[in-house]
Amino acid sequence: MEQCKYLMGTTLPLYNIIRRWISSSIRLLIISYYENASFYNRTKLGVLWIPLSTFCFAITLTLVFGSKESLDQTQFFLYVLVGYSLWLFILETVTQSTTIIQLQIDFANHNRMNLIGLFFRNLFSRLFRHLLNVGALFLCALILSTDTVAISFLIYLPFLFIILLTSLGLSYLINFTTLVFPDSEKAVLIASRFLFFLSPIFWSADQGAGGIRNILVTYNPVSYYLSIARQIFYVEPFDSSKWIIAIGITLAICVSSYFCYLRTKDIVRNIS
Amino acid sequence: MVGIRLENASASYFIHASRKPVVNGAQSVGAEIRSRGRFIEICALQNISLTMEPSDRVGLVGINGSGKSTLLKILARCLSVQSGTVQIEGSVCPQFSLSSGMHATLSGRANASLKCLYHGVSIRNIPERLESIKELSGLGEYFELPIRSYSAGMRSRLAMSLMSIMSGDIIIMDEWISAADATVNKTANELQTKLLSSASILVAASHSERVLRDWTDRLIWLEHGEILEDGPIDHVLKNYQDYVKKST
Repeated sequence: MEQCKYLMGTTLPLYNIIRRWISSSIRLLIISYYENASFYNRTKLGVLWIPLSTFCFAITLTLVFGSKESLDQTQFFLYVLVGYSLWLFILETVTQSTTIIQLQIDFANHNRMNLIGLFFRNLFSRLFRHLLNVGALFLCALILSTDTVAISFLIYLPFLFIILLTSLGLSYLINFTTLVFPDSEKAVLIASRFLFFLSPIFWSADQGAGGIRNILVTYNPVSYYLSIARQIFYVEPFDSSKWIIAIGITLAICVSSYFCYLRTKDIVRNIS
Repeated sequence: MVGIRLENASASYFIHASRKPVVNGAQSVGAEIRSRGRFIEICALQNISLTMEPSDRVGLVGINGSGKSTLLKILARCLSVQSGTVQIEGSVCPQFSLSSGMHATLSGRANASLKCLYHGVSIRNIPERLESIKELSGLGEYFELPIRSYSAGMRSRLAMSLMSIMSGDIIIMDEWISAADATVNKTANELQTKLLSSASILVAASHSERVLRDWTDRLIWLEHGEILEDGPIDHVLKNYQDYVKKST
């Protein structure tokens, strides 16, 4: 535990543990800012390009796929923006987790992080970008539907906790799989492209196209997270069953990941 | 209590087998290679037993592939052992490459900030530490420029000045001390001395006799992943140098 002294909790009383976790979270978010900023170093807008590109893509999807039969264009834009913002977080979880141990373990050990710390560092990097997108999302929601934003903000916090847990668990499972089965890395990357079209990001089951969309919405786990995100912004009606299923998926991923970590943490660092 | 204890520790690397591996011959350098189904197992260390106590200054020698770096990585907790036990008491400060994790597009200041954040410097103390790093590095206004614009010597200066934020009960070093010698200035040498003398245990691998004699008093000679000799530097170094002369 000594190695992750600064970035993870230690065996201290509860108050100190919470204080240390908050301090570590702030530290990791600042690290994420610096590391994300390094990619936009030559630009004037810097990390603001992240929400700007999300916003532009959501507008494009709205204009191309918007249907006046179901939702009006404004509501459909919000529908797409919520979905696409969350999709980017899911996509980054999947695509950026394929080589964490393979490429970053030396860096982690050199910077006083253990294996868990390394996955947390990557999680916070994703969270930082997601928060920028969510910031833009709330701004749009404020302009388009002022009366519900405060409630949305409150409900978004537990939702954020759910997706962070899912992202962390999924990240380890994906990384372990690609470590042991290198071919799965390419399969995961290709599958994520298909998943974009197979998930209700810019379409909804209500827009017709027969039963295929209903099947995709029912059996695609991503659709449940997209649905509850939209419920938070009142783009979809509240449906408790979607929340229960999403929490169930999260628990399954976290439990699987936890046991996978326990059984493999000593060997993964020696595989290259 | 700071200390390191290894008992019959064996460690291997596992590499995906793209073809049937050829068993490593006795004459070749490096550790034994075994076939393990879909993996090739490189038995980098075998049955290593050693103890290090406070105030130990230990050097590692051995030809390429003898297991020096693997042993250092185990002590730094970067690698796990497949059998035997490893007990490490105390905080470990691995120094394999100080420039590891630096972002070429970020300035010296931003990179130093990141190092401070990673190494647990209190957030409110970071501005003060950054000024100290800037002064130590002697980079002047270059400190504000992206490090991709730095010469190798400037990078080395920045890396060495970052040593002022490092600390640990156990310092693990691999080669870079000698590699940096050509460019370090007096201040960097002082920092290096301060860092090494503040540590309770130092373990360093090097091919440089000067570095080994300056920094260590005990030497472990590794060969094909096993300890061949462990003892006072004069004795082990002489035997090792005789062996190298005979081999060449």
